[in-house]
Amino acid sequence: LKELDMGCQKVRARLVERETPLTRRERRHLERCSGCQAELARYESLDEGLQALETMTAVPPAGLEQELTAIPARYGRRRVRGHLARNRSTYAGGLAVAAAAAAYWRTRSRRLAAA
Amino acid sequence: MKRPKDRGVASRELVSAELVRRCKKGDESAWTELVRATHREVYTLCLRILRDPDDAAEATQDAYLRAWRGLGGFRGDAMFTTWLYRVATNAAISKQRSRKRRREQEVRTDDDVLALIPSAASTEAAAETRLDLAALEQALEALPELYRSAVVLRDVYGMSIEEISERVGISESAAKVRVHRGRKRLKEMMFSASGGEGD
Repeated sequence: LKELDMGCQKVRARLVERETPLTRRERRHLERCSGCQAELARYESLDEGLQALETMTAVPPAGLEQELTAIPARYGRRRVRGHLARNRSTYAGGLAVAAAAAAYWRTRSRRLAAA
Repeated sequence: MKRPKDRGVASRELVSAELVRRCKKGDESAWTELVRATHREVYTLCLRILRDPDDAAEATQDAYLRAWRGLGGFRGDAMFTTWLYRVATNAAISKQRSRKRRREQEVRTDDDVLALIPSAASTEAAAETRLDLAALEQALEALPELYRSAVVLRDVYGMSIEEISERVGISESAAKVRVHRGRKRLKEMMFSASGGEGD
C-alpha cells in the first residue's frame, strides 16, 4: 500500500465521519487528489446502499404476525387515559393546597375581625 | 460532499394517522391492520441489530407489546413509524443486553440470517445503488456487534448520533467512534476486492 501523506490522512478520516462539512482546505485537497476522490465515491456508494437497505425486509417467522395481532386480546384492552386521569395526582395536590390556603385565610380573617 | 442525514429514523410512513387514532382508542381491528403494515420492517430492524431470528422475533413481540401499552404516549409530533422504530430499537437493545449477560456472542458464519432477507435483485432499491445490497447485508452482518448496531441505526435508519447514544446507553463520542469504525470496516469489506487502496 502506498503511504498516504498527511493531507490525505486527514481528509480520509473526515470522509468517514461526515457529520460536519469539510473545511475549505480539505475541499481544495479533495479537488486535486484523485485517491481521496475515489475514497469519497466509495463512501457515497456505501451510504446509498445502506439507505436502500431500509426498504429491504426479511420474512418474519411463521406465526409471528398472529402473536402480534393477538396482543390486545392477550394483554387486555389498553386503558385510554385522558388528560385529567393522567394528571390526577397533580390536580389533587393543587386542590389540597387551595383548600388549606382558603381555610387559613378564613381563620385569619375571623381572628382579625374578633380583634 | 454528501453527508448522512438525520432522517428522523423512518424515511416513509407505513400507516395512516387515522389508523393510529383508531388504535389509540383501543380498536383491535385497527391494531391488526397496523401490525400487518409494519411488522416486517420492525422484525427486520430487530434482526439487523440482533442477527438471530429467534431473538429478533422475541424483540419484535416485546416492541409491539410496548407499543400497545404506550400508544397513549404517542402525540403525533413525529411519524408513527419513527416512533415504532424507536420502540423496536429499545426492545432490540434490551434483548442484546440480556443476551450478552446470558452468553458470549457467537460468531455466526452461516448464511441463515441472510437467507431471510431478499436478494438485491428482487428489490427496486437495488436499481438505485451501485452496490450489491446482498453483499452489503452480508458485510453488515460480519461487523462486530458494537459497530453493527451503530451503523445500522445511523446509516440504515437515519438516527442522529445523539439518539443512538441515548438508545444504546453510551456517550455521544462513543457512538461517533462506533459509527466511524463500523463505516471504515464496512468500506474495507465492500471495496477491498475491487482495488480500494484502504488507509
